[in-house]
Amino acid sequence: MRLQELLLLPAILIPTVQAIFADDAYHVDYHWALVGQPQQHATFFQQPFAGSKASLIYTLSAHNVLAAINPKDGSVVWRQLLTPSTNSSQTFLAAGEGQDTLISAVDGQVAAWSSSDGRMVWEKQLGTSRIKDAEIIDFEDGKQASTSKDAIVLMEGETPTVMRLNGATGKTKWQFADTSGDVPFQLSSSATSVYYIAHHGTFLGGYKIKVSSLSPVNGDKLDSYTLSSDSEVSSPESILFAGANTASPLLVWADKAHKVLKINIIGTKGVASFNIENKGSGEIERVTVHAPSRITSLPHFLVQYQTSLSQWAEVYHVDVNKGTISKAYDIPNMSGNGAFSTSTVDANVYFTRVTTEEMIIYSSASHGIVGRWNRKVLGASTEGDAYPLYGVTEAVVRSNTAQAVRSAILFSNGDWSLLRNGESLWTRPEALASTLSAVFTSYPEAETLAQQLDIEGHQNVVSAFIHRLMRHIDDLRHLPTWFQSLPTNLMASFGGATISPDSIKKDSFGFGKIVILATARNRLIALDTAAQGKVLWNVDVSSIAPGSKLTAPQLTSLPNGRVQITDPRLSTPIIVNALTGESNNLQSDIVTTVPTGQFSTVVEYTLKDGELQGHIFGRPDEVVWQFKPLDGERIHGIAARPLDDPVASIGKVLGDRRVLYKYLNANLVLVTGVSEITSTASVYLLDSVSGNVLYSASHRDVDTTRFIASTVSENWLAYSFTSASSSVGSRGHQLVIAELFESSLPNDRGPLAASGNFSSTDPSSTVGDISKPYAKSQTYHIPEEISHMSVTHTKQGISSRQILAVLPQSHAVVGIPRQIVDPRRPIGRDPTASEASEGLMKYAPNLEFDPKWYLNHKREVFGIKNVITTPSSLESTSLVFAYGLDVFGTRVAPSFTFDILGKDFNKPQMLLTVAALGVGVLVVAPLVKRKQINARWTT
Amino acid sequence: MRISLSALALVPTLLLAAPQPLTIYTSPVSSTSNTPATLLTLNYDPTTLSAEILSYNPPKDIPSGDPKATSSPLTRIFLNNPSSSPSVATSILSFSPTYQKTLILHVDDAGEIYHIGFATSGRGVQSPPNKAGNGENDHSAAEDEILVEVVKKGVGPQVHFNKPVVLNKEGKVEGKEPEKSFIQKYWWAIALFLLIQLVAGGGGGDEKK
Repeated sequence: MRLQELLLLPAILIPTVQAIFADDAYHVDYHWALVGQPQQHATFFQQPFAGSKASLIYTLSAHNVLAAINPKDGSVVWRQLLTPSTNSSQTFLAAGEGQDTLISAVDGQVAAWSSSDGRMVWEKQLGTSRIKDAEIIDFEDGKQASTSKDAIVLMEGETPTVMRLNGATGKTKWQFADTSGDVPFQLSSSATSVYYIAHHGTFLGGYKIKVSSLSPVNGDKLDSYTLSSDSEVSSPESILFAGANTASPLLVWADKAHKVLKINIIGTKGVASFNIENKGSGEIERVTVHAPSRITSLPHFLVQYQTSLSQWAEVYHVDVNKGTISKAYDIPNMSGNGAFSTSTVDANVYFTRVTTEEMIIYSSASHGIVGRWNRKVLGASTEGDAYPLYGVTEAVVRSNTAQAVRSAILFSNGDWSLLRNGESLWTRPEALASTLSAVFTSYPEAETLAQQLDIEGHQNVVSAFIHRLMRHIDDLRHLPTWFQSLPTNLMASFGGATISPDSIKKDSFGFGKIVILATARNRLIALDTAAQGKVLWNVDVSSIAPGSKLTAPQLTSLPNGRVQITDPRLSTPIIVNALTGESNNLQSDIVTTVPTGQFSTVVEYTLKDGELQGHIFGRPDEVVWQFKPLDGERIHGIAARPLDDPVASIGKVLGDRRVLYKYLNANLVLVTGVSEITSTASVYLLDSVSGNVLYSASHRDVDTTRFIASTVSENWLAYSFTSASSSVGSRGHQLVIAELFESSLPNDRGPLAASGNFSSTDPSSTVGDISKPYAKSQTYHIPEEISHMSVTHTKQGISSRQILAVLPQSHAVVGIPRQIVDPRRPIGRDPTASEASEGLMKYAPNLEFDPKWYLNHKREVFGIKNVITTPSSLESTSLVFAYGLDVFGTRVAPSFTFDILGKDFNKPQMLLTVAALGVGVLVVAPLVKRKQINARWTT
Repeated sequence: MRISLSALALVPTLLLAAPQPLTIYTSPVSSTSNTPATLLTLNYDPTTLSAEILSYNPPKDIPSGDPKATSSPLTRIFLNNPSSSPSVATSILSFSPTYQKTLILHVDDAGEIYHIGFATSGRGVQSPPNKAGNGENDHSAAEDEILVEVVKKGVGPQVHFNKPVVLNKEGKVEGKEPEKSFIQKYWWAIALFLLIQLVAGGGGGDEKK
């Protein structure tokens, strides 16, 4: 026995963790480094530093990501995730011409970032007040160094304040407080002064616009005037444009019915009025003003009108000396939606129009077309019926003909593309950044075979054999095509050719799955995991179910490659084909009840008013059980054991060949509760059918404002929290793992020993207390907090599991091997020989995340909110998909890829060896035979 | 009585700690008319975490039969607390006198009840910690009884730190022996080397001669 244990000892020297191999990285995983939907007013082309030849696209997106995008290939040069304390609706990004810094304003934070590498230059926190506008002062006032231009910010609050911040340090130069009680609107600056635009309500419900000019040197109020706009401006949204940094800043507004357009040159009291002529069909929905932002550019601007069916524009010129505005020319009406954008070359201004068919560039001076291209349809486009929303443009124009025009356009399907001379260079699927929910689904073909095999497995021998025979005869149809594809397959197999990313790979390993995502912007998107996360299709939910809006969608994978989407805002669930995105809403397909075949009663649970309630499925008023923590404590999170969670072994074999039996209950729900008053966190493990508490634990001195992640699988649960500093311990992050057994004694099944079945509610006739499993738990200090946890999922559950933990601080996903955090690790002593043969190590209070555990290797995955897993056809491998802001997918093999040959396996060499041996046998066989015969004769 | 009064005056929080009368109800899940029936009344003492059963009325009309064969209706057992009304479900068959029944009171650190539980088991040779016979049903009084168990919320596992390093007044680790010098450590290797040199060198010299 001793000897046997000693022989087993080397087994623990085998590394228990498989890292990502260098040749697997970037092949098995895919990643969309997203920024989210770019905002029109916070996106622009800009040189990263003065004198740079190439420019980058800078954007501050709706997801508060500040990013620099390379316009050549659409790759992210750098990204910063800004985290506002509240969900601020208005965020700003400003950059001065020839500057190497960007100024961002989000919530109460103003920060300057280096344009070339995204490092923070300075940061200023302005407390609780929110920023209403931020601009760069684009003129020289003598005192200012030309390298860093100053910023002016406008803050909301009890007394709106205008501040001038030093561009190099962020220090306040002066501030101006407005005590008049007007509502601040925006800032603007001209060559001589800073304008503070506010509006105040009148008795009749309209708004008057009040413009105050401030001295840029010391912030003194120089002058102020009020524009009588109350007949047109009914809400702050009626003000269309308050132009910044042009030679002649403009203030443009229109009435609600879009009948009249009023323009004021800021600094003058005159208002120019133009009647709006509806040249298109349908009501005018949107009026947009596009004006150049460069201080040296000509004072021309464009007004775009958009109806539901068509769009046109008018170009206006400002005479700076006379202070008059005149209409220069019309840009003709075109059907469909279009996006206009402004670009400047020296002092000249150009307007670029992008429609679904064309890309046209106009000069602001006259109505002549400078350049015109037909838009080329992208090869693998998911554009479909998407139309351009808005964009930014950079143009190269020589002698009044456009040499090169590139526009970064946001399309209505959430794609952000760069068009160069009408040709699409790259497309970023930014719609994925607002993913709410996702599900894995398999290809229909793969499903059918599994189904057929399942049928055969459940029939009697004769009919199963006939079924099988029929299936094989049916499969003969594919034989000719198989023969045809044989040479290419063989070539691919030996030449090491990779799967072409465009083809939907129906691989025999089950690595190719479709991930269906539902986004907050009401879109359903499918990704192909076999083709590096390529977008298969992207459809609008409202085109399937008109008038619907997804708020909290739940996606379910149905057989035959279909996916069902349910949402509180949807009256009936939607079913889509996972391959095409087409909806086939047959009422008979909708799964409204869970399979009840073998269960008499099905209990579901919901969280209602801070109370967890179990009720009969589909009948919420028939409450079965209720669970609510005591007063002062609230439910923080709920984690249930996955519905499909196969367990290969019902026991855990110890080193001395005895067995500890696992407590396996399909209805485990882990509820975490926190109490802010006592700073405690508690976990309760419930049986979701009877409502009984199986295990409970509470932790003191917990920072309840931080993440508490939890997960349940098999017979164990894990959770993590941040402990606050206290008299007994220091601040730190902890990971707790608890494993449940039927009994604390090996080879003892406890009270369940005799019973074959187990019910949560039916009475048990065995002696002993089955309501209390034996729990073994341990805590580790971890270096970082975990924001979300899930578990890998393999087909049979034979492979060991990994806890997939999302680390928000290092933008990473780590796979913590389950056997490393075994709660049976011996504390304070070395493991005995039998414990060592089980692979148990001595307990260490610190659990460092091994660099090999990082699934994302060199990539940085931002803002992950959820990680889903699904088994592949191979037992060793589990597919992982993470979403939130970025989308990241990979596959993990927690117990090595024991059932697949690695990439380094040399097939030609193997064949050559076999051939050489064969030749050797052929050559040697006659010799040996002769020798044997000779030997007989000689003896 | 006097003692409890003085305690009440000194520590007002102990007011909570006086034995609380509790009533546990049952009501069938499937029916629409929910008329709760009293299952048992008991006195619960949060200071000693003990409970005393005052009365027990098991539900009548328990269908006879094997629980595995028939689908038995669910019953909800609940506690009407002012702050929370925890409830659990069990089969109606659980109240059959064949089974040993246990009502579990889950309490927090302060002894306040946050949840209840219910468990059944076969009749064994257990010695019940607390039981009360049912006075009304005389014929089954010997068998039909219920146990009450008070379960305190567990304390989560703590990190087991290694032993801290203790320094003495000189700022050095106590009990650690001073490091041996190189000669002290490896004198035997040097001696062996010298011995080999002596023996081998001598022999070589002889041969040359």
